[in-house]
Amino acid sequence: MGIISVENTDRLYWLGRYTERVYTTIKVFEARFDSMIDIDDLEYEKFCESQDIPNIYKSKEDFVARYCFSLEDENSIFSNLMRAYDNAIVLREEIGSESLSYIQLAVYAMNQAAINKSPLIGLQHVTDNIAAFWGMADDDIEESSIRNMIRVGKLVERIDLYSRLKVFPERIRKETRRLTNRIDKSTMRYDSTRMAHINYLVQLDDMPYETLTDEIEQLVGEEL
Amino acid sequence: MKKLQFGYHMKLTFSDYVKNHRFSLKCVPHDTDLQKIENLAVEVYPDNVTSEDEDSYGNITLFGYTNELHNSFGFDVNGIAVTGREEYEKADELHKIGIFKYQTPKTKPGLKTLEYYQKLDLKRFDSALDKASAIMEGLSNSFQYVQGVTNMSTTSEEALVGGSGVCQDYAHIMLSLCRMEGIPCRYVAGMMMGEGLSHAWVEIWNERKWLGFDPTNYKLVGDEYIKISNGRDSEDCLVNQGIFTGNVTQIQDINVVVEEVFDEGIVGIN
Amino acid sequence: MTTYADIFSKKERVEDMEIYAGSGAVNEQLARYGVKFGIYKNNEFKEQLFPFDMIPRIIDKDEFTYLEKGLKQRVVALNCFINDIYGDKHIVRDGIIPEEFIYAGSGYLPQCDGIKPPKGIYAHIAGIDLVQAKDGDWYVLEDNLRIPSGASYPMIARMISRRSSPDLFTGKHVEDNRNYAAMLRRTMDHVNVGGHTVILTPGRYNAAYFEHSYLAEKTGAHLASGHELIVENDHLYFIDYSGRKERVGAVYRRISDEYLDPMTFRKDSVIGIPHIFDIYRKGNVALINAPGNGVADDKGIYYFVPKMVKYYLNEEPILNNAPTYLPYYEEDMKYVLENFDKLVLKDVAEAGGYGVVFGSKMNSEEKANFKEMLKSEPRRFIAQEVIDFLDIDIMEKCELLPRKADLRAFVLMGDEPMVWKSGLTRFSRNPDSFIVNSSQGGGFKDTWVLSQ
Repeated sequence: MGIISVENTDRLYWLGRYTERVYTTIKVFEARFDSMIDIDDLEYEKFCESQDIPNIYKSKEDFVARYCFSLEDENSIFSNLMRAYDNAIVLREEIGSESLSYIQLAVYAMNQAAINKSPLIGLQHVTDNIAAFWGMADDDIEESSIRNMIRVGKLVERIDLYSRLKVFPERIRKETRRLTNRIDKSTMRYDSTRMAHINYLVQLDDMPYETLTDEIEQLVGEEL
Repeated sequence: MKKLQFGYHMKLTFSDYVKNHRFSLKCVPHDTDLQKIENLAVEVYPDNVTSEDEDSYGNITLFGYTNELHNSFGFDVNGIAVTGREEYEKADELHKIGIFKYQTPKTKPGLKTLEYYQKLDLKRFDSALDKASAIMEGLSNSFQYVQGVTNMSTTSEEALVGGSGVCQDYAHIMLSLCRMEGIPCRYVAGMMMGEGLSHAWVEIWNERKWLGFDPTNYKLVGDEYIKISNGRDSEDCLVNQGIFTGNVTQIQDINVVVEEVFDEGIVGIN
Repeated sequence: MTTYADIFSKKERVEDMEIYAGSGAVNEQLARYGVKFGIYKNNEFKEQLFPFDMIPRIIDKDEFTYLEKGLKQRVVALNCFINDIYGDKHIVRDGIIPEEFIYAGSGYLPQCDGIKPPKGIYAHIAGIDLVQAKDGDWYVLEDNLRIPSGASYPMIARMISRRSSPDLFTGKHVEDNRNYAAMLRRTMDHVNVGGHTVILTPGRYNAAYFEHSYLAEKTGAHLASGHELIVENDHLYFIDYSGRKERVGAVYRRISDEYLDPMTFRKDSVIGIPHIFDIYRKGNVALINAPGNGVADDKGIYYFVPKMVKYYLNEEPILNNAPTYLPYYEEDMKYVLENFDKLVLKDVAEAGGYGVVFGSKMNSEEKANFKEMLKSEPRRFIAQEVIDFLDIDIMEKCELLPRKADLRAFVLMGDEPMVWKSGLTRFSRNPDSFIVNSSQGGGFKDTWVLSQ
């Protein structure tokens, strides 16, 4: 017990990142979709810009169909969910079948959401299952370093997304504090100078979002 | 009986650096009924972690690895072999060595071998010994010794179609023909008195004896030979096998020196 | 002989199972736990759900007691055989098996000659395929001693069905089959020479990856791929992310012999572990199942298994083979040629339901060609009487349909031989087919062994 390979630490980290990416992008999508309904048809253009993804979509309908559900679109939510799945499926013995089952259920829910007339209802089942996965992983995984590797991935992704979306500095500060508390407990290799730099950046009154994005993406795993 | 001082040197030169190199070497002669190995000194370089094992054919296998970057690899094996201690090597009963009766991918006969085999008309003879002698004689008359026309992966059929090759090819063709006659036989890799490359020959099973035939030199194997390894074909006797990380070409140099020593007690090893 | 019709009330059979089948609960549960197997179609890897039919195959207590005895006897004899073949080879010396069935086949690995594996066990996990004929008699169709798979499916199916339809189990006295992981762990621990226990997988793109990861989780073994394990100083180590080396004492390898070690077997193998075979030979790691077992599960060798039971154990074989003929023997060749139409012919080199042809299904030209091939390569084929299978019902779209099915029983050789009180029942979804392999579109059922 208690031995983990380099590959698996990497996968745990990315499992944390991709589940967070799916969860948060669904939340953001819900907010933008709401204004697309009857306020601004072209709201998705701004969204693409903020996410640094090419706007390849022809209309709001096209955006909803492809950005959410197309596996051919590598930036789609579904593609990101499948990346989470690809990492999770090879981690069964680390995270357990029960935790893993919620990722499987999220995939199943995503397939259902794609054929559902109201995508938001369908997507809610996806986020429900991701939330359940996090809860189950916290509750069920005995090895604290495994739990923390997933957590670290999740927090890194969250700070990354928030800085891209330029959310209020205080929210980013909060997540950064959580990351600082967590990262040593994960026993993962990371760049401690960079962590200190990130802590400095988030305290600045005029938050340098772009620098922050660059720094957070290089915090863990680059040399692995 | 002879006392032979031998030196077997192999060096691989890579066109660039390689790492994570894992190797298995069958380059150390083992004791048999015919030969006894003394004063053995084995060096594998660069610095390696090396273990020793004996494979299922009784051959000594050195295996190990070098993780660091290196652009050459090799070994020096030196020692004394006391040869000709018996007339022949004792063999297991037929049911235990049955595997040597069957062709391998290297010795599988094709049309050319079939034709050659029919011409030999081996049914004229009764004993395995006479058949093997006829095969050896036939080969020395019809197959040419030429270096560079065949390689490690050439099969007996391919060599026979080409009509020329080296000791490995002679041995494979002879194995193929013996097996067509149902004679159990094995491939032997070793050294012979003189200076040059390593050598290969054949042993046939006859009445619980292994009898050595050297089709390349058209002679029976005697005390000027030192056996290193034996197996179904050359694949079981690969001197050096390795895998490593690196995209390189490699050149192999082999130098074998075997000379008789007469002076009791004075043994120079370098 | 008990069928599900005897044990379930009509209401249970018709109404409850229909509700269960119609509710989508099964599919949802299968998806939830990822009960899948991988398949390659047009060179692309796809994961498919393994179709599960919830009507169980039921085996009476007495019937299973008989099977259990016979299976233990058979696998013990097979282990004696493999030890003998890589040792003194008395069975060849005594003429029970002609030498060419050993040496000319691809199953015998000369590299294994002379090896005594830890505790003398070669076949630790055996999957014995049986069929039941209409008259109730059981026949062994095949012994799988290399890397038999499938135990995880009934394990998880039992969990799913107990959750989805608990009422169906109440008062039925079914042996619990969820102890397979414990049995497997006991088997692995028995031969472990010191250190961790690892399940070696070729990776997630292997057909049985679900099973590899599920068994690792349930046994508490580590799932590893070849590059995570390394041979150093005559021992095997798992390297963890901090660079620490942890010794490994037993490897339940789910990769085949030829890919196990590029230094001994296929040189192009990238999923194996260099030099693992050398240290296994020295007794420094247990390999489960041991390399070289293919010599005993060759279709040609199958014919001789009842003879092995007599030869090694001096007992009468309890389980029968399907009536089998070896065209290698003149008498059998004559029989095969004369009774061609009622026989099924199997190519000994093929597996997974491939290379199986029915005499009756060939046209006259095919027959003539096949007979010629048989005469020129008599050792390549075995011929068997076509067994009149006992069909078992499956439910498809709320309709009961009879289908061909077999049973893969699992025999584990730990500190004592153990037979799992369950098994994988595979059925053909095509009504005209006898081929039940999952790679050819078959489905599976749970197997209930009754405890009283």
